[in-house]
Amino acid sequence: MRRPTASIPRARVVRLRALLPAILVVGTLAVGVGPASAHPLGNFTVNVYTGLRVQPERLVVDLVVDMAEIPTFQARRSIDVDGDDQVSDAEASTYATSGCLEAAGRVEVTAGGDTAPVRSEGAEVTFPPGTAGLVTLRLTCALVADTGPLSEDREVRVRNRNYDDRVGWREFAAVGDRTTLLASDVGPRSISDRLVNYPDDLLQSPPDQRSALVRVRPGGPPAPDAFGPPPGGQAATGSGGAGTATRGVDRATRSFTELVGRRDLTPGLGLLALALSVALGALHALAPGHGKTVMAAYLVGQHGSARQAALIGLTVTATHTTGVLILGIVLSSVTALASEDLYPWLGLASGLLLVAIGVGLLRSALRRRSRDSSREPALVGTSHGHGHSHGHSHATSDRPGHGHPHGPLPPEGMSRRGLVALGLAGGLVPSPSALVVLLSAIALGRAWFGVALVVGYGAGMAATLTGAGLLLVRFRAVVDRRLSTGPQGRFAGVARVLPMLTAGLVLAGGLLLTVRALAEV
Amino acid sequence: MVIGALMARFVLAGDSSPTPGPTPSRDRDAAGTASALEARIREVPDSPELLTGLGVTYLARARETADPTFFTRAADALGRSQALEPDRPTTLTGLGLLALARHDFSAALDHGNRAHQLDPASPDALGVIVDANVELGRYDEAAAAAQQMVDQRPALASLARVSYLRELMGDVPGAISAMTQAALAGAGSPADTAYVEGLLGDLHLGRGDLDKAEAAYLRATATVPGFGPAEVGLARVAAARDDLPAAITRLETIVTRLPQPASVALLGDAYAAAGRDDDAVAQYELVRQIEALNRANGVSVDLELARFEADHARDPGARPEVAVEMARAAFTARPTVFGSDTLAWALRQAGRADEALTHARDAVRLGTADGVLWYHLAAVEADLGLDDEAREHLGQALRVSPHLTIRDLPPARALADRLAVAAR
Repeated sequence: MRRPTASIPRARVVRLRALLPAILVVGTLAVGVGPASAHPLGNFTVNVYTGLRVQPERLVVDLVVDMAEIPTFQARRSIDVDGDDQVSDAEASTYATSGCLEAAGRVEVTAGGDTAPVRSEGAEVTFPPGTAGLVTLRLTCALVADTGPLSEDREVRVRNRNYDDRVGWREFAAVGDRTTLLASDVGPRSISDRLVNYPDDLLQSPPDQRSALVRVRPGGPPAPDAFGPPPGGQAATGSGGAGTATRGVDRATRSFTELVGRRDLTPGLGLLALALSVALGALHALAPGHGKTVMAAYLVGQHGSARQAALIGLTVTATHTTGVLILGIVLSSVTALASEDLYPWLGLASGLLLVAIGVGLLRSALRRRSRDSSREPALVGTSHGHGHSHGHSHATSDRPGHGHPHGPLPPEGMSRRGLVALGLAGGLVPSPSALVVLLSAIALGRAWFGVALVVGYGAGMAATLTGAGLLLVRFRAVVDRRLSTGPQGRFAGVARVLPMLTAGLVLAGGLLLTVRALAEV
Repeated sequence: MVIGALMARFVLAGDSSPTPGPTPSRDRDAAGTASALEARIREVPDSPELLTGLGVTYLARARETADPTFFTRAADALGRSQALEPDRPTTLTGLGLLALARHDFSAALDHGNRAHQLDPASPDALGVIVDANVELGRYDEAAAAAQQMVDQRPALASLARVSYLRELMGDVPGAISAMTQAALAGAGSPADTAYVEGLLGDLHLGRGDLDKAEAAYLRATATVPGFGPAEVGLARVAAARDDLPAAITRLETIVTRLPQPASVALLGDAYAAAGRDDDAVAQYELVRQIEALNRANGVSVDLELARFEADHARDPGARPEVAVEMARAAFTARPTVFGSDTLAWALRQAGRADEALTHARDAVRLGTADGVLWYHLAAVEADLGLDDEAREHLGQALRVSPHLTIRDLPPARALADRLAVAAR
């Protein structure tokens, strides 16, 4: 019967959807209004996706069938053959195998005019929960047709007759795998993420693709893994709501990408976009988790100077901008590398870096403490008298080798290299929103504009971080004055312990990040 | 009854059949029209005219494909159009058609009335008014609007509604002649034509004219291959000819393709008639699952499902009181003669024939030529010991519908035998 599909008021996306559907679908999920698993056509549909990977000697077909609740219920008697209302592993595997065998027989492949028989090389069935306590059915078949050696250009035609009399979403996609598709009447990627995230554009009829015709030329780059998510799609999207390249994309970013996607991008609008990206970056730097905490701890604990604040802010920004640019370029060219896999590693690197810095700070603080205990309490003021850490710090940054700031440390805080490492750790994990902006621009053929926007975004971040750092330095100066005028014993003790506390804080932060990243790796 | 000469049917007893409406263009391919409009709207997103056109095209797609999500799409397009221009008559008419399809008949009537005020010359607005009034049981108002509509333009839409109102009033020959004119009037989309031929088939089948019914259904499927209501009609023709295997084969195909509750229940009845009880139970279970899904989706009132529950209220494990509740809710939302009949039947099945009698009499108050209504009345009367009335009304049932339904014919015949014995 009728299934009121969730009708979600959405901002209108002018052209992006067609060009970059995966990202926007994920963007929708990220703000929590996604259509989730709702079947696009109600409870009685059978939806079919056919993903083609055209290889030199064979055609690999990624066939996915997504059955809504009612057809699943109708199929139950052919799945639960012993009628005990349970689907055993054996029953599921029998159903999957025979289902894919049958499905293979209903896929017709002709290559260069010759019919190529299709066989099933892998079958899987799962039963995702549906509405009203019912289950749905998802059958995935890895089908293969040997099309013979590809020596010259040829046409490959594929018709999928599976469930072709059922109401449903019927989608095709095709990519070349070490071949080049000269022409294709279907797109390169799944707009539904292989029937997982159906786009909720209501002013668009559901696709009704029953066949594909491609023209293939020998030679070309390899396409990523054979039976994972669809080619091209997985780089920018994940299979679920969490852990995707664009996780954490907020509403502001979405409206921003819409602005970038406007067809009639005038110079005025371009400038507006740039200004917005600076503002977005500035805002983004206010969100938790960008090395600000670390930087704050450092600056307060280690008698930081205004220059140091600026240095850390700039490093975070430079690292972050470079990171986004590299990741963006990697994602838009080598689609094999899924960014959701990358994030934990970046997080791990960042965490380990912080642990190392923390250890270094702790050691130098301990050393200083043992020194100081035999002397007058450390004098406060700013870092004059310890010019080592600024002014002529090129002396330290020239030292080759060491990636970690252990080794001999300046009496207070750390070297410029240490500061850079701190900034690196803070900026290593690229912001999803910046990434979305860049990827959108690339997809729209406006890569340079995208780069400009990301740089603007970085400038905004730098402004916030440096500004925050400067405030902290001022704050530090105030605290120091208090301490130096207060009763000697008590506050001097605090002043002595402070560097150790902050070193411990940095260490703890690093450990936390590391553990979190390890859990995800 | 003032109404000899008019009448209608676009929202009919078959719940899930969407309502035909104004076609945005005479394009024979609504899918093509839809994609052309979608493309133009991407260029010009703020045109009420285009958005309404697309919304109405989605309604046509819903009718062709039986895909209910086209209603959601239609609602979105029409809503956007209305936000841009609140008083566009075509938008209001589209919203009225959508409300009819979603069984919100009061809203449909409001939209229809507003559209009619703004554009009195629009037959489509009048069509919405006719259909909404019919479904609200306001037959006089429906007849007046249908008369106005057919006076404006005796075309497919108006003639088909005239036919339906005549059928409700018990004038089957008049209904057939109007529906035949409607089919000949053409000027509709293929889906409209198939729809009208399907209704014509139903009229012939109802009065037991199997050959004419089959011919009309075949014309419908020739116009739109696989047209659902006509396929169901062909299965019912086969069953009426005692060819259960053919009926079952057809219904299996239909139910696999489009598991709508009425067809699923009918397949269950066909299995039961053929002695395949396990298969029948499996289909009835499927109907209950559909019901559960509806409830989960917030749709709890449905005349068709209430009727199913009433039919099955004496099955093992059934809960007759639930059937009564469902029927009462359905009747409140849709106080038609069919609503009265369903409520009467649910009460009778729950052993409350005394309460059922008024409603069963209400159900035949127009003289509607639907044998099921008369058989139900007869069964209620027989339960109350009113044998003479029961005999008379059962005779009427089998006169107007010699083949009744697969499910009702055997018990109706048994009741006839019992009453005949009692009369001796």
